[in-house]
Amino acid sequence: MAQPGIREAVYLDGAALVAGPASVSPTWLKAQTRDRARDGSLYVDSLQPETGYPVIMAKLDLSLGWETLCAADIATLNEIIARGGPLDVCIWRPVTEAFYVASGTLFGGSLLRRNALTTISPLPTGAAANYPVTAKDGSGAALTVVLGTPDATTGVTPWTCATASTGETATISYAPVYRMYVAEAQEAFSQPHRQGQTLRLEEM
Amino acid sequence: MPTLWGLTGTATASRTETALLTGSVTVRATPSVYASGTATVDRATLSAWASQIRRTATRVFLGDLGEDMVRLRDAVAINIDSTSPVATATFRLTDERCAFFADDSIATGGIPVSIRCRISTDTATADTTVFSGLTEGMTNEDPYVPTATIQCAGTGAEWLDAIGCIALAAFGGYTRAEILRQFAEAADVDSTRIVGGEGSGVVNLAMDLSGLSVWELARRFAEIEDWYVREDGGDLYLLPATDVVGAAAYPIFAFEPSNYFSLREDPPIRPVTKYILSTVGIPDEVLSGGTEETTTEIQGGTYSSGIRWETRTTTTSTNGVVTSQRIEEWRDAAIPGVTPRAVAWRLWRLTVTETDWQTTTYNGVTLRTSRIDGQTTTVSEWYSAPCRSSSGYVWDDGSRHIANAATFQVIEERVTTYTYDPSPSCLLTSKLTLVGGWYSEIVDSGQTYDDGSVRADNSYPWTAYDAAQPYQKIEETYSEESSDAARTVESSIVTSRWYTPSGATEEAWGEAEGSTTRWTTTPGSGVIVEATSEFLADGSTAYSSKSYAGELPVLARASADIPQFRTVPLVLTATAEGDRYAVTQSVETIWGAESLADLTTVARRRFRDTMSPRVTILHPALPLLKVFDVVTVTDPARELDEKQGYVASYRLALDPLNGGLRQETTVVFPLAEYDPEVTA
Repeated sequence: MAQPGIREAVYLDGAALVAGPASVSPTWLKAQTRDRARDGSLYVDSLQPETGYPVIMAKLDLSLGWETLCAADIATLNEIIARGGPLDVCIWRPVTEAFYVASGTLFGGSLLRRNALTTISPLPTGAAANYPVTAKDGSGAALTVVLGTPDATTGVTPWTCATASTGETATISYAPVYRMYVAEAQEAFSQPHRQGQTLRLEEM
Repeated sequence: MPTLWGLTGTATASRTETALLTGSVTVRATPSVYASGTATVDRATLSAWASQIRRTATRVFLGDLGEDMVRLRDAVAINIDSTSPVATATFRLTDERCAFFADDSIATGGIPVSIRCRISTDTATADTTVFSGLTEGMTNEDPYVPTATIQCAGTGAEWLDAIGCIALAAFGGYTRAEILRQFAEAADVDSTRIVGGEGSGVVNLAMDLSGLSVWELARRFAEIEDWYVREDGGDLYLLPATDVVGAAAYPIFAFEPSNYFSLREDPPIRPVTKYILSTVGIPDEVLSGGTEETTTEIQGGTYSSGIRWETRTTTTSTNGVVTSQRIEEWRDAAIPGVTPRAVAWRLWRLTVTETDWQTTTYNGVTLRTSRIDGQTTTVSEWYSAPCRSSSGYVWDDGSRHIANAATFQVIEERVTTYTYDPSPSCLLTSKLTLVGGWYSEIVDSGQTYDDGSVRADNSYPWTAYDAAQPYQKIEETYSEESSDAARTVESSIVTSRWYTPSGATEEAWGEAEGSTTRWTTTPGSGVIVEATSEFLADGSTAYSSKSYAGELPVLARASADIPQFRTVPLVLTATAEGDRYAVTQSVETIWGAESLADLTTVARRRFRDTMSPRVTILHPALPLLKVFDVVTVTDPARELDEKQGYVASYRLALDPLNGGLRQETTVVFPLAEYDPEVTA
């Protein structure tokens, strides 16, 4: 089970940064509409663009901040900013996606992202042990899932399981690689000869 | 979310994950007119849409191949209103093809569009097409990739576009629903797509329907028949009012505080409180056969000689159809004779005309058509037949008669029979008039009269109209021909009687004189060529021809099926119940109405439409509701306790980006005082 916090270097599209970001601020944008009825009842419509997608769609909005950058990292970040994206980004924090599977149907679905363990190379030391893919059925029992080949464009990763659902919600936790785009870039010069940088990345 | 979709009958319910209910059932999910009998109800669809937590996806498919347009911006809006058969949809799309000059440009519209919503819950899934139609032309903006706001018109537009043209004769016996279907066929719309309308009223007056859309005709008839008309799935449904309003209407959904977000009430604003509606119609007494009426007209005076005169005309008619007429001519006169009677006030001449009309049966009642079978005219006056010089009496005026004084007797009997072409031509093709009268033909050897003529008889005998050689026979014939090259109308008249053929000394009975006139025109020319030829008793002939600008003469026609009738103006003044509003008056002529009952229905319907309050409810989208579906609404703040109403319109707001599916539904609460009349 992954430990709290970010314990690996942030993976920023394979860039060889001398120093990683000092601050990492993820924000989740839910594709969802919630309204309360006159008696207070909550009505929720969640976007599920395709069958087999998670029951709640959320996209990552990520801010990375550097207080001080060396010349090499400035050049690297400028190249990233200039390119915009798509960027493969991994902050080595597991996410959990939930899938409702109808009764009598084999568990399966589509993870919204790629599994970092099979996408990033080389992996940080101990990554396989620290960030395993784990799956549970509705009762909390472990499921053995098989991840398929991610979609080359979207990164959506199919997953399958040999177990049939009894009409329940399965959850899968994994460390994802996000496909992101540079939405904003803010340089900061708090002191002469000192340069900081903030990048805001939006998941595609 | 509670639902009230009612099911009755025998059904097999399978409440598995697929949640399909199949079997033979009666479905009251909508007014009974279009859903009864064997049906399959997709309960999963109902369940999915009515769920509190939904996983949703809205997709717009464009083109014949149904391309999924993934670059939608903002919400997709769909409007459905009971006042139009056409649903409309609007969405914004960012796509290179929105540009006019782009390859495969979609900028000019006319592209098939389908909008679908997929709803998933833990227990049910539904994939519902909420709109289908065609795109309209669009404008686009944005600097790098064009973004267009695309308006779409639903498939119901054809009901507005279909312009038909039919002409219906009076008393065709068609109901309004049948007329609507025939009109639809004329507009090239399959009439089987018009559902309902049973028991609609029969139209008696002639109708010339042109320049109308099928929807417009349905809308006009709907007011008179108290239908509620809606387009659904390409078909046009004529729902009886009792299915939509009133106690018998069956609610299928309940809006309660637990299933809607907000509610806005819109009371009527300055509604019309008084309607003065008018039309023309056939009086009931005409359709029930009517009663015989006798009218009298008297004209009279005194000549400068002091002789008084008077003409009394007595006309007998039924339903305005004259069946007999008696004209009495009275005057101060002496009865002619050898010694005339003293001048006195006498009936001098009597003309009686009897007309027999063909009849037709309408609703079991025999009514006269405008076809005359026959007409008999009898003229009587003071008369004595002329006679030979060796007989009779010389009257005081010097003339010789068989009797010494005139007696009042028949001097002429005229019987006319008519022949018509069968329907639909109904042309009067011939008219044969046989005349009875007093006459003795001139012969070479016979009886000599005072005027020197030699005649066959001692005195003028009476020759009956039905004799082999009547006093006179007049044959009139009419015909017409039409082709692409020419149109022709011909009329001829031939009179047969005793006459002296050219070169003869004796009179012979035969065709004495006649004429034929032929009018010809080339369609579109506006020029008529009139050619006439005639022959006379003396053997002479004449002909003439002329051309002029004008129109062909119109020959007489009469239908064997259409009774004669008259119309009267009908006016209804209807005032709304109560005094809640200031008096606002509307005066209008109601097209298509034929009776006070029709006007009453129209007035009641209009009051119901305009006086009834309505609410607009914002709630989770439920596009399974259709316009004119009956619902109940509960809102304690407005004293609505399961108040029954019908859906008048709704607007879907479908957000493809965050899944939100919302709906604004307008519900009308019909006031009970304007409920439709319930007929057994």
